[in-house]
Amino acid sequence: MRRSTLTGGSEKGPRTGRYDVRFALVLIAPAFFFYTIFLILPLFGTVVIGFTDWTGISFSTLRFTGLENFIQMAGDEFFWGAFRNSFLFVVCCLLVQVGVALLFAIILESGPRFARWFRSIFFVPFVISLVVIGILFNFLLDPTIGIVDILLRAIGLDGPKFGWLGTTTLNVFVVIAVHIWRNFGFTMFLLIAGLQAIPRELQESARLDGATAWQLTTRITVPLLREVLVVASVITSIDAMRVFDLVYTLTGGGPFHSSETVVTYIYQLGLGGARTQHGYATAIALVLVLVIIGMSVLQFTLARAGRGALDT
Amino acid sequence: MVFRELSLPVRLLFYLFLVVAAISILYPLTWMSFTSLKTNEEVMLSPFGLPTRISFENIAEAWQTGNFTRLYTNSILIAVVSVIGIIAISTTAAYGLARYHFTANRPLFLYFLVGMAVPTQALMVPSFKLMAILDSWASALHLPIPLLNSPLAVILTYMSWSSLAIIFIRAYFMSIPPELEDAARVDGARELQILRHVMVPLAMPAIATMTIFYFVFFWNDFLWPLIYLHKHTLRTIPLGIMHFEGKYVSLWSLQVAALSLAAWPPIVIYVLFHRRIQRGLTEGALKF
Repeated sequence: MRRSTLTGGSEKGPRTGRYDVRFALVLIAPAFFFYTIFLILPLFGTVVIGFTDWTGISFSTLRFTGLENFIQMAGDEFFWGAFRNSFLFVVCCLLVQVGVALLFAIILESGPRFARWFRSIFFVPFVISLVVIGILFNFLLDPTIGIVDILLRAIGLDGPKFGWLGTTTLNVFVVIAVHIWRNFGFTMFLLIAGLQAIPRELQESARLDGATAWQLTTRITVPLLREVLVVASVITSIDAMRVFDLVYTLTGGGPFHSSETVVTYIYQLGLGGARTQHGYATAIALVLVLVIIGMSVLQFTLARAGRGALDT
Repeated sequence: MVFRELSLPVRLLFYLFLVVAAISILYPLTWMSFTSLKTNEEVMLSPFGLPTRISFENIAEAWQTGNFTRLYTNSILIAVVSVIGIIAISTTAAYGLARYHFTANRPLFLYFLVGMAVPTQALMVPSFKLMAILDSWASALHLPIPLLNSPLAVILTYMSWSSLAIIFIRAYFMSIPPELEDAARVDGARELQILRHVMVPLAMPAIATMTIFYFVFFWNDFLWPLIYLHKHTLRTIPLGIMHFEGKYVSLWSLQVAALSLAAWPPIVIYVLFHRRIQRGLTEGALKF
């Protein structure tokens, strides 16, 4: 089984040795420069500004306030609402997006008719801008002209009075559904790649031994797919945790902040609204960074622990 | 699992899943395309029917009022420059990290790895402020490099997202047998020539995959142009579409036409190159 290069490859280090170190440094320097100035420096900025009450006018107004921002966060119901929604995003996407992608990947790799066509179609939404998708779904979900409500009325049902996106309870799930609709094709491709890497002989011999399709899938295919599944889950949850475009275009975080996610809340506080609470917004961003790193580490650790349990 | 050997009800159920999912994707896009090819009257009379005759009335008007010539120019400029830039610097860095032994190699690799864990959205406030500071320095030194309200700010930010490309292309370089380079070296090729004429062509699958990946990403990105570009002449396609929606709320046939104008090119590119893109994705995922 191929090991992830992220962990496996780096342990080995460079395979061949060249000794012209200066040339190597020249090769690395440009990427190092852009990466350091425009990613690492803002990352440090996030850590520093997160502990201030900066409003962003000039540096002279910058005042360190210690943990004040984080105390404010604890009592900020919008912050908790935004985090709750983002977590809802992560949980739903892990269950539904990865689940659907896995199901379709396995079905398509088993060789039904038109497999290529389905595979190609499922990936189409991924190449379209999220803004276009958001506005398009605004039309499809419109209470008067949208096809969804018209079909529902045709069978005697009624959609929500102010539209699917106008409710304060269902709207988050609608945004999540659109997010999954757009992304499952990408997840499916990752899993298909993993499936294709599994040696055919393993499945063949189990099949000849009389294993059913269900046994083959749950006992052989899925366990062998674990590494790719973990990578797909980490990518899916990071994507879900930092969703912005779709929320911005579908609901704008409303009504009454009910569909606000962490990133839309940061944008609104830091750059979008009339007041610019740079310090507070950045403190939330810092929490987001830590949560995403923690989430990824947790998933990799769980996967490793699970592998240990399987091996023994 | 072999599909043909499944029982008939299971096969039918699986086909049902596939067909429902495919319709959920094809229907919205077809509706969008058909609606934008209808006349206004037809949109009002039969919003869900097929167009009786194809009319480019709304498309042409959306192109005009939305100033799509400008939107396309801006989007292409930002995406192309950023992609060329990031692929160039990532490929060279990946090669340096993959093939040269030196003390700082591993620390440098780990340093680039940090970028994989950082959600770039979280950096929006400091990034915006950094551009403001650099802009004021540039104007104090009378340098003609504006960074406020400038596509350059977007490009520079995009070019800092090199971690994925470096790690990805580095892994590919490491899978190439070193004998190939050694042969070229014996033939008297210089280091830079080896990189350009031997290693880059060999690593083309990985580089192509990353090029496609980053291009789609930059092309569709909404947040960073929204943060940096506040003049309407600088808007990219996603920004333009967003403002178009706000401006022509009642004229929804025009709005749908504008959506088509934004959605068609990536779809056409995908249809033309779907084999290449899909192969890139699956090969790429394996290397990872």
